[in-house]
Amino acid sequence: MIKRVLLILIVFTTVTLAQETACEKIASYRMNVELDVAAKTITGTQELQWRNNSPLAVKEIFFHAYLNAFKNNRSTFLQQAGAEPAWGNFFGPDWPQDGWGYLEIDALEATQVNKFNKTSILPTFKYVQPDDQNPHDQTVFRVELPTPVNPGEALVFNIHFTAKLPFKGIRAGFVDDLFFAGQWFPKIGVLQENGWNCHQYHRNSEFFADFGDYDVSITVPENYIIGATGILQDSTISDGKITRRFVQSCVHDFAWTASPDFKVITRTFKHANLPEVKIRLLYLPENEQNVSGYLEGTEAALQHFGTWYTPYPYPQLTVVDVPGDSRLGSMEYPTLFTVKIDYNSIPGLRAPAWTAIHECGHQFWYGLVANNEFEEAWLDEALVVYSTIRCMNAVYGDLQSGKTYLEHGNFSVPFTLRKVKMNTAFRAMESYRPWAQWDVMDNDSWAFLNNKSYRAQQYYKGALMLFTLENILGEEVMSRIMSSFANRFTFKHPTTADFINTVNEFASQPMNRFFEQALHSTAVVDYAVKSITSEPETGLYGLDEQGNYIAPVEKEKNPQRFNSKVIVERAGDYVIPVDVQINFANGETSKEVWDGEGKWKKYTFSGKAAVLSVIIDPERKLALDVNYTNNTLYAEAKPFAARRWATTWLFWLQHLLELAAFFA
Amino acid sequence: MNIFKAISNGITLVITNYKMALIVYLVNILLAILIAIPVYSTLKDNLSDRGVRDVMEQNFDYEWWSSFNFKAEGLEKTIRPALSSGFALLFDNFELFLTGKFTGFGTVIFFWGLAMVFISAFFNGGVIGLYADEKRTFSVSRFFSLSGFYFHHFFALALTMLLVVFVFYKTLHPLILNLADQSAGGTAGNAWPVYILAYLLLIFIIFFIKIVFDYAKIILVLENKNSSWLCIWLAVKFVVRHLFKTFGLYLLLSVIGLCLVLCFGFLLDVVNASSLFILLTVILLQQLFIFIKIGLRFSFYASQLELYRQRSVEVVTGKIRRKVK
Repeated sequence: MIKRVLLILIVFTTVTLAQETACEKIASYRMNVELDVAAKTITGTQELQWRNNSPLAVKEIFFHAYLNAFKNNRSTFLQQAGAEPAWGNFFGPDWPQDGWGYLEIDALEATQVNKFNKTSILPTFKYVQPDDQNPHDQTVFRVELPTPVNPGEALVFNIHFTAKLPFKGIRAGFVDDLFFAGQWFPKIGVLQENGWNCHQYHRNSEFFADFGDYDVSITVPENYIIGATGILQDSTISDGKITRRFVQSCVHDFAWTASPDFKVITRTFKHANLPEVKIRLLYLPENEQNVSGYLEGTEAALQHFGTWYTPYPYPQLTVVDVPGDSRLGSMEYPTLFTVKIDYNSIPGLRAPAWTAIHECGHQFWYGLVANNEFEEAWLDEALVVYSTIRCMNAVYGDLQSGKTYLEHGNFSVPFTLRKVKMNTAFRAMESYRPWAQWDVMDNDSWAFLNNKSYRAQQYYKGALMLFTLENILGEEVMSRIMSSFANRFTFKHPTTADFINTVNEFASQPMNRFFEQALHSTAVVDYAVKSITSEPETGLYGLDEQGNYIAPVEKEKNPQRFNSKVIVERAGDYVIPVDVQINFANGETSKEVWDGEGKWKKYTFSGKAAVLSVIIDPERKLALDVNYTNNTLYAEAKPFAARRWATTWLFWLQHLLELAAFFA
Repeated sequence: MNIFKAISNGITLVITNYKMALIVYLVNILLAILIAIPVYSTLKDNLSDRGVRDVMEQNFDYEWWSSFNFKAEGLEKTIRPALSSGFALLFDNFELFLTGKFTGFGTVIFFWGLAMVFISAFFNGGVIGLYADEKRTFSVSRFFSLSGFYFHHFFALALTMLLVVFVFYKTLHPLILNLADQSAGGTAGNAWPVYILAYLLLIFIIFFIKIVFDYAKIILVLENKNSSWLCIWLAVKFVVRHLFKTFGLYLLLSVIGLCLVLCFGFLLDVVNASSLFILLTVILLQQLFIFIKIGLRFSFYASQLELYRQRSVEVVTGKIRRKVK
């Protein structure tokens, strides 16, 4: 008991200290805002304390104005999104007039102690488009200071702004009485060694910001329930309105939501070796059937990721369930994430738990280990998918496949195919394979062919790459890599190089070539067994050394020795060493390692038994292998499986033909 | 006569003349085998000497299928996980019926289905002709001769029905579902009852079309009419006049059909054909199901014919009584 208490104390102290000391507070916000539910606007003031943490002296300051992505159809975001068929009519010509969103800066003043007093810098305000020079895009603006800010110096900005939430907007918006404010306030860019890192809002891109403290007071109608980043400090009621104040230290964003329809469940996550976390779930009554999955997934993530990587350091986590037909869901913010599940999701796929684990995973990869999602999205997305799959496997094992019938609008009938098991990892392969050779993984998020290719690379190829790495290095080494990476870069902005360096530090050999192919090429892994031949050994025939003719001996009925040839091939262009297992008819096994360099490799064997089968990569180490069906070959064919499924297919067709007769 | 009596008489008729069902069953399996052979060949190429065969002997391997399906074309695309479930593969077909997406399984399957429509139109003449005949003595030659005799009329009726069904799926079908969309609003939670109602309405309309065309065939044979169009009109009048009886009979038989699907679906779902003996048993079960289903289809014709005949007798008797009075 004493040990346990001590452990909890140590963890708690470590976490608190880590939060207080390791977090460099670059950008801290104090905001006072009010929601106008009729106009769908948020108006308010912002006091931003910012410190120049770069080696550069700067006069220009860059801000994000993400909500302007929904200002008109010419924004970079909507131009990119509109090109995708799946985007549908979102923000199309028929979009309601009050359905567009924007962020307006009404006043902007800057103050620098000992340099200049509160000065309006709004006259210097200018929208800029650093990524694509699209003049219609207003998602980034810059202002100019009276004098440059030197390295280490601090500034205070006072901003008055109006944020208009879009209808059903992506990540931010309103649906009926539900309001979700994500990326809703003027947010300063990140000043790095080489200047401002402040990208426009792109369809595929997520975000990047510095850590700081957030203190936000939100006023809404009294009957509205609020969920927000951080901890509720106090509430005051006046004139039918309620103001709630939320505070959170060491985060890099702040999101909130409000609706009179939310139902609330509060639960405390407890684990012997981890700090307690209050989970507050806000859900919509029509999605009640997903509640247990959301909670189960959130707790599983806190437990596993906390144990595997680093403890979740904040005392609260808010989970927000949003309408299924909006695009607000499945998004992460510090100490808050949204979940959204199709009403009729297939039970066997456990979508609520998957989504909760995934988004909760972002509390670690993005929330704590805060990479630049614009430029290196794989660093959080791939790590989260990898972690989610590990967690799903640990909690649920294999999933069951299924399908949905009669899909139309919000309706469909889900059906679980209980006999068809599928490993969660395989979902990653299914999404990756069609887009495997279209883009390279390590690229700016807006430079991908389309959203599917972006996701295939950043989410799924990345996760498969990590599983391959784990299988090559071993689970224990991989665990050390991941926990070291998490602990070293909590409250920091790591890069791809940081990850590779961490891997190389623990791996027995440098993995640079592995990463070079995975991150910077479109090469795919595909190893296959091409052929097996086993012939009974024959004696010498033809002419002997003296030139005498030796007649061939008839083949024996029960030959004693066999000469076997096995050819394996590299069908893909990704080179990686691979294991080859040769099974003989007498039960013996031969294990080889092929460096995979050549296009093919031949193995010859002479022995008492013929080759029965050959398996390339028998332990399925190469999770990146796009076609595992060609990994095993038997010397002898057996048609039972083909017969079984062909007769079932025949039966299906007969039934279909009988259905056709209905129309005769 | 009540509908139960009509159904009972109808089923007796079908059982007495079971050989007709046997002939149609043979045509069904022959037609299916023609395209099942290339499917078997594909499966053999992809499974017989590959490691996944061990898994596929026991159950459907999703990972194999996913890789296979990625490169599959044409008929190969119809090999899918739903084959592993006794219910799912039957629901797949039922879904086509409810959505009207008849090309959902590709053009080859679509044209095979279309061929089956016209082949069935041919045999329907023989089936109804024989049930309508007072002697009702089955012989293969009589069956084929009656099929040939009525074919031009039944072909015309089948074409007309296809046209009506096409118009239905292109107009009323989307209209009803769009109405459901609007009624359900944006919230998924409200969607279920509304869409269930919409699909029930769709089934009602499809059944109505089917019932009318069934009685058109029966009238054509029983009344010896020469115009298919006139028969459709007479059938509409008959069905509307006896809406409860005609629909009641149809629904009762449909319930029997549904029970059949559920029973066999359940059986095929629980039995895992992982050995040759069980596989053979499953094949027998599957073929028995198809045979009974064909028999049930014929029961619809026979029962409706019985009902029509009785209603006509009642009408004639009524007229005579009124005249006598």
